[in-house]
Amino acid sequence: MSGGKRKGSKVKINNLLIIIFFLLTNIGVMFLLYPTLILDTVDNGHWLIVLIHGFAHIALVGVLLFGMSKLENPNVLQYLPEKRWFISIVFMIPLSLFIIGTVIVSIRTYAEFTTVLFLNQTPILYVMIIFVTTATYIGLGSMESIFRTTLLIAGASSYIIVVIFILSFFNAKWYNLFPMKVSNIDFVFEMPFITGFLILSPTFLFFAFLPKRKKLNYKTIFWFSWCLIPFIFMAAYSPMLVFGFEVARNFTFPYIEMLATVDIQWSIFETLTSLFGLSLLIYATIFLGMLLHILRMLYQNMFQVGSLHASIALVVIVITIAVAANMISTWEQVQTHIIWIIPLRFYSIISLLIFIFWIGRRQKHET
Amino acid sequence: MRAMDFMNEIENLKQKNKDLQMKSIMINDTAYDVIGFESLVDFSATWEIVEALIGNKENKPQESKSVQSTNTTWSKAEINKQMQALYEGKLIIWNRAEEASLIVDPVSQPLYRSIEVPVNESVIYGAKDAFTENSQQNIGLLRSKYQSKDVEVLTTQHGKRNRRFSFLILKGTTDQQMVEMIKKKIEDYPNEIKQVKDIHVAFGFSKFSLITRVSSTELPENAMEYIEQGKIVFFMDGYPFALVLFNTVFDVFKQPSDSNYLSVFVYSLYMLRIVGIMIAVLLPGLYVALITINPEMLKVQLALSITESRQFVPYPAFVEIIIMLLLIELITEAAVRLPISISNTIGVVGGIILGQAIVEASLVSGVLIIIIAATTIANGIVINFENGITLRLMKYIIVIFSALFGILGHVIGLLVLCSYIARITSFGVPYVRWKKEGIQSENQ
Repeated sequence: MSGGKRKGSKVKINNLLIIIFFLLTNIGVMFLLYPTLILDTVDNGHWLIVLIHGFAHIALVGVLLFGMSKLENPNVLQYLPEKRWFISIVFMIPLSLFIIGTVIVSIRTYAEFTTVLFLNQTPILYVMIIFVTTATYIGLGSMESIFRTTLLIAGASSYIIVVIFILSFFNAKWYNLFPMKVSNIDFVFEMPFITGFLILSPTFLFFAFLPKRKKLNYKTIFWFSWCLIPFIFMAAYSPMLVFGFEVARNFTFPYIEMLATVDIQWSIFETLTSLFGLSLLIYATIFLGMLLHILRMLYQNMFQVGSLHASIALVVIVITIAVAANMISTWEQVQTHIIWIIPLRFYSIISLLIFIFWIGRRQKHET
Repeated sequence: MRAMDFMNEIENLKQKNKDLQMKSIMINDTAYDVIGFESLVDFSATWEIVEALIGNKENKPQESKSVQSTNTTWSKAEINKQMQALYEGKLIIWNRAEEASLIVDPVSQPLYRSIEVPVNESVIYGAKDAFTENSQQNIGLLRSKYQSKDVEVLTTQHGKRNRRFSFLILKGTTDQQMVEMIKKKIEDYPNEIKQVKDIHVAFGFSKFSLITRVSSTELPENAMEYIEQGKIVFFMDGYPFALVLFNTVFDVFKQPSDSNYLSVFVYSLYMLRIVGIMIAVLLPGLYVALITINPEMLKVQLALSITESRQFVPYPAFVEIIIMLLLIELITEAAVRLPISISNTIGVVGGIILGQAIVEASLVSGVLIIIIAATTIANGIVINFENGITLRLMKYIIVIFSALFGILGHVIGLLVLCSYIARITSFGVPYVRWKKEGIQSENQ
């Protein structure tokens, strides 16, 4: 009887670990690039974009979680058929390419951000190597260890983030909220909107690849994912409230620039920018670690090889990623590459959902 | 034939061991030999018991010494078993006529110290008894704290030294399969288990781990609490600590006796310890990162005052901090090795005189002295000395990362350490977990 009770408490804890991971990685991904995309989309009525993006994200998370809750095994790769070449081509290779593309663009973005903020003298290649090496180290561990790493990191940094979130509204001029009227909905067909759409999708991929023995309470996770909407609002609106739309849209990293305006007398640091930037970088590195971990799993299942083989392959892939990221020379090119990944992104997410649906159907047939 | 064998063996043994005593006694016209090591057995105190036992008085309740013989019936036991009993500090009474022997638990020589107050883990409010080298006494201490039929003890002996390992099981809480598995690991270990390090090797843990997987506590109160949390507690004879398996990261800043304070104070204490841990690990690295690579992050006034205090220091912040950290490690280590009366002097010489002189000689900056002092003090705030050692080592990793990549290296170092800690498991039970999570369910 006590065993049952203990199992009950275990479920709760695992949910908490996963929720912390989900929220933290979303924060890490969201606050850097997303504000620019929203500010570029329309001149006023940004709330609509935020809501559309937010709800689309939550809807997809919901569908994915719903699909996963129907499966007995929380890892979709456990359901791969014996002859897997078709699924490999249709589902796993595009997903792997999507992950590789995302990692390339991400490390380049974060390295750019780092050189602007902290390491002006250091060549960008070295910065990328630090990120990618750390992410690989994290990715080579088990998925559970990644969740536990996030818990420790959350313990060490979450209070900084909370303080910063509160302080970010100190210089807000609330009249910048207006006009709230949406003039037209042509933005739906414009590039920044499409780029921003599902930009957060890599953060929930892991829900389909959870390790065995994890009994999740999918509903709890789904309700927690609603927390993202306030975060997206904050990411988009804080810089606008401080600077006004016209000024805010000129920055590469508006949220970070906004933090530089907060005057903090009591800190030993000059601005909040670097503290927040560091937190974002850690979260983003964990996120990259998770992506690389999924990539390793995909490789292992695609070629049906051992764990060591897959780990070595991951290291080789990561070296290629670093070289590829180094070949992107300017910030404009980074943005072009983000656009390149968009079709892959849509395709991967939809194929993942279809794959889960197919597994569910097959499972139902068998029973 | 058997009698001759036995007597020969004893004579042989007596030649080689001068402390082996064989005394003869005549009771009811029967000759008995009483054999035992006088280094282990207090003969004068035991004599009374022997007389009482032989004189067919064993049915009467014993008075003061509460003697129990391991085998109250006379038997013709094997020679090897009898010899082993002798080495374990037992007494053999040999009946010459019947060629039978009786193995008796005598009054032992006072080889073990009595229960004293803890030396390494000081407690303000909480039980003040501490474990000793005698594992039987230690088990007794725990039994006295948990007087229930649910407490069971499992024992095994290992190696040429015949070292005894005793595992405590709390029914319904301890995972018995796990205990059996661990016991088997000890039994199957081919080499001698001399120190705790050998237990690590026997369990298959890495020798170079930064985290103590098998930690020690000298407080019975803590050990009992750990058992109740589902951890596995065992004793190694001669080691005056309970060994605890399946620690969690929370044990670094929480200990059971904290609960004797007001709850508000306890939570404040936890916060204080967490801050202490962060200072101990992160502060030296932060200094190096902010001085060497990212001074622009600091407030201008602060950056200027630090630069001013460093202006005559001839080498980079990394070398400066390594010198000071090394010095502090030397002072700490010297204070442990030296007798208590002298170690205080080391504290004064090392801490005050040397600290003052080194700043005046411009070998290190004044700010660094503050940083080092804060780090050393904060390092002492963690529960258990072993955890303190872990933090001491971790700060060097952070310092190296910081020296290489500045503030970014600092946080990346932290991330790498967190990832390292997060992937540590003992028999599948993760180190970063809530109390009972994983101990039972993941291994059954």
